Amino acid sequence: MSAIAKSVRASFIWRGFRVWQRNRDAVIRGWKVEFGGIVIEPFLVLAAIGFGLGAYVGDIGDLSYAEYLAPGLIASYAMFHATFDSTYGAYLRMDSHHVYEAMLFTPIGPSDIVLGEAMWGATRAAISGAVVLGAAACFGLISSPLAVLAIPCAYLIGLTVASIALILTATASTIGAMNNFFTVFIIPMFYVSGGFFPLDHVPHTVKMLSWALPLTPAAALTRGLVSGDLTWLMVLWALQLLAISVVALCVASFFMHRRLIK
Amino acid sequence: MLRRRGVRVVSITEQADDTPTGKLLEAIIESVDEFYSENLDTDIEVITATNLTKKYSDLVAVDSIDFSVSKGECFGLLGPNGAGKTSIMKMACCVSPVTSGDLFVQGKNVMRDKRAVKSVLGVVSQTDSLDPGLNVMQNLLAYARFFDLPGKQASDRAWAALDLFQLREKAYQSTDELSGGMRRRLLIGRALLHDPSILILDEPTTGLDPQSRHLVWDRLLQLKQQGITMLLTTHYMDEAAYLCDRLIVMDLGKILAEGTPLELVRAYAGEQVVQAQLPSWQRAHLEEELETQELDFEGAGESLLVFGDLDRLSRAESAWAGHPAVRRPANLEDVFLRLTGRGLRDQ
Repeated sequence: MSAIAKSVRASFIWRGFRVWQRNRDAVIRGWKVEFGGIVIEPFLVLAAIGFGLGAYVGDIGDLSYAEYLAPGLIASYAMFHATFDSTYGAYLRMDSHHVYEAMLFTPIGPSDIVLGEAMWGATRAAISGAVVLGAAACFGLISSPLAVLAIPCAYLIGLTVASIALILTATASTIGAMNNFFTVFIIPMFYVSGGFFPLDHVPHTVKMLSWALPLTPAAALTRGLVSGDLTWLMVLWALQLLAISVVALCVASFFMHRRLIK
Repeated sequence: MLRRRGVRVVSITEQADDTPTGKLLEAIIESVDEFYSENLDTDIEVITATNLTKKYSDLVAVDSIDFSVSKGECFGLLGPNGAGKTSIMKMACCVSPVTSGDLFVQGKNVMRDKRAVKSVLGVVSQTDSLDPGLNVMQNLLAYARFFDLPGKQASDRAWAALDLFQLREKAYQSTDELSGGMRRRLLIGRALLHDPSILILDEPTTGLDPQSRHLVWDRLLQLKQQGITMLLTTHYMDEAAYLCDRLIVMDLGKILAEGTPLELVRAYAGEQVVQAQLPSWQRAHLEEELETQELDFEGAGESLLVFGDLDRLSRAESAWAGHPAVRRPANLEDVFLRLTGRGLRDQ
């Protein structure tokens, strides 16, 4: 083994990858259950909202409503899929199924678990982002080859949201606490993210607040890649998501350690 | 003494000299020494606790205890619920921080070298932590990956573990389809994948039927013969007597007694026990008589237990004549109950 391979295998990223592999195996084993929801829904939403509702909305800038909506959907779906897994999914693995307990008796530690779970949430986000992208392409809504970069972008969005969700999972006293996360954080973000409509007419404070949260920069970043309309701000948005991820991962690791090691 | 310390032939070394015979002697002694250090290694302490203490907010679960486990021995932790056994196990597995004192596993501090400690331990905890999202084989392979075993080795070891615990034909089944006994066997097999040098077993046979229990015992003995050190908790005294070389009896975080099962039985319960059905109101005069005969006895509910050797018990026989009574060899359960009392613990 080369020195690089050795140091990779000794790093927390590798241990996180081991946790990621466990989740991958579990999903592959039961893939049929999830397949329908992931694949059918984007087609439905694009057809209903993008074209159905879009006919009444008209163009936004240079884009038809469906073209405007598609990147917003990629970002939102990435967020939802990452969140579902990192809240309900992770809580079940931690609390009811004792999966983390078994991991702790191996060289895996709480922060490795948090990293692996976040990487897994991000992977699910990338998969759902790719499906929405494919659906949008089927409807002829994709014009730029750069749009393929929306997939790694969905991964980054997933990583950010999953890391935040894991803070909640690590501190939740019951699985019911997850509901609050959706009503207080995820759903408002979903509506005021610029994914469905430009934020030009929302109150200024709300607009500012939404730019501080992950989904608004995420939707803007995805839109830039999908439409091929690049700006330097996109680098800033990506860095913003990355920074939120790193901070949230550290906080989640702290709480996960406090919860599991007593 | 099962603790094979002090067996070495050391005194002759001082007489060894430069003559051929002296040199030969020295060589023999060296090889004997080598044999003991390589094959028995009883002088090597693999788990050492000094002033080990565990506190949970206002509860002292483990109260400044000392013990050590030698390489290759099976060391038992006995005690009623709340004695501190599981706390000790969790600290040794680095999943519960030591409040004060020291705990070393194979020379490594459990508070500092967590990953190094965890990589030599095989842990079977009380919780059934089989992964319901994975089938039997995947459970083993995922676990092996956590120890970073290469794929080929992981699958070889997984099959060997399934064979050892007679689970080969269950390899691709869901864990939900396994019986309680199979699940426990799989949990033990899973703990062995990375070839650990120490096995931590927290009540490994609780809830198993006699067949599964004996299979587990058999495999554990086999592993012991291969030189694996074991730290075991159990509520079954026959299990402790069967498997443990040495054990400690604990209560309320403190050690009450330490020794081999036989030593403890002899020290705290003697050789034989007579268990006579005698309600307490009929016992008063009897107890006086037993005291004059200097016999050890204990009232327990509707029974009177009298401890002693065969001779002395048969001399005192008249005391419980006319009441239903049985005589049996003293066992660890007698020791346990005498040391920790008969009051219920989780009330």
